[in-house]
Amino acid sequence: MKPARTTHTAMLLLGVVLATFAGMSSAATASKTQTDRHSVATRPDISGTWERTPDDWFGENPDDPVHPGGPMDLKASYAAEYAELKKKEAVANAAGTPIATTSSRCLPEGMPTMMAALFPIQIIRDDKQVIILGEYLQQVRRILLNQAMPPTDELDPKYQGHSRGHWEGDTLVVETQRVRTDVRFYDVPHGPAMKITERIRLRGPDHLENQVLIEDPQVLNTPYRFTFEYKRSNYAIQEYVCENNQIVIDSEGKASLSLE
Amino acid sequence: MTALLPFRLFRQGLCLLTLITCSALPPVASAHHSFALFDQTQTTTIKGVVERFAWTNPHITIYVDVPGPPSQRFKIETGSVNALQRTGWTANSIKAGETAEVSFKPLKNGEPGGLLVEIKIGDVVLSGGG
Repeated sequence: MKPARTTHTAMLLLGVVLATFAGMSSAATASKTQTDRHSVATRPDISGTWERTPDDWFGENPDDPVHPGGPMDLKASYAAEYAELKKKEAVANAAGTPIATTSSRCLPEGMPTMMAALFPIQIIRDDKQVIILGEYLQQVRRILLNQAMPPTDELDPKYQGHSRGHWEGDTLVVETQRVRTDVRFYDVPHGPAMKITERIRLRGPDHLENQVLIEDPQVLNTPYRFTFEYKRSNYAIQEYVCENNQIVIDSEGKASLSLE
Repeated sequence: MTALLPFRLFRQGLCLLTLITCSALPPVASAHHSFALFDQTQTTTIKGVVERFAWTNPHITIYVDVPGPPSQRFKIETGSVNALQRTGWTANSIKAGETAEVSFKPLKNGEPGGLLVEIKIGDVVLSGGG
């Protein structure tokens, strides 16, 4: 009987082990479903059209917009350059010949300015990517999901940079690198190693939040942080072709209205 | 970001004057160039005939011929197609050949042009902005 009992005990043990494995397998399946990075249905629905909120986000003076995170902690040489530019702009504005910007030439705003949503933005997403369309200048931004950021030296500079994202719970975390160095954010330049990290999440069904962190060892003493907030909109985004048919830019980069 | 022109308060002020709907002005902004081109402390009014209505981005432009002497063609700029169509403007809001009274913030350099405050064509008043 002992051998029989032993066999019986062994069978019981085997059964327990098998049952345990089966349970673990089932639990693993359930867990995988809940955390599947490739299932768009399991994530908060950030898709739709969004406009900045509150309405007075821009401030009162169009020629001196409010910086979203307060003054930037610029390294000394960049702080001096910025102060000099502001003086130059003030003189040019007073003379009625403001200094032309990239937008005077109908060039894209680039990152992170595009996310300021001067005009509405639309978010479209699937399992592999999140696409952001900006009405202003018909800008497009592609965030590839669950892919490693390639080495920086393999990335060409772009207006919107290169973005990679992944979900952390209810938050879409996006890293952006290699934004063209001629792109400006509130007139502030950046270095080739600037890294933008965004944490995008719904604060309510119709309220989207984007916490932005800019790290730039060349230009900033300390990382620059701010939050863009958006409200859901039923506006249908329209075509926006910039024809640049009204501005003449002289050799000093100053703009005047073409009378043609 | 220096070339952003939300001008919201200005637009809301103008909406009190307009006959088209302005109750739901969206929080949109214009862009492209600085308002510093224009003398915001002055308002000029002209009467003339619309020579051309350019329904274009980044700015809508209205060319108005004013009889002399000397006769002059004014170039009056306003906001973007995208912003103004949200306030009721359409590509047919203004037509060449229509007689119009136009008030605007003049160019600082004295040339015949400026930033639209409002345009009256018959009983219709359209406000600039956006």
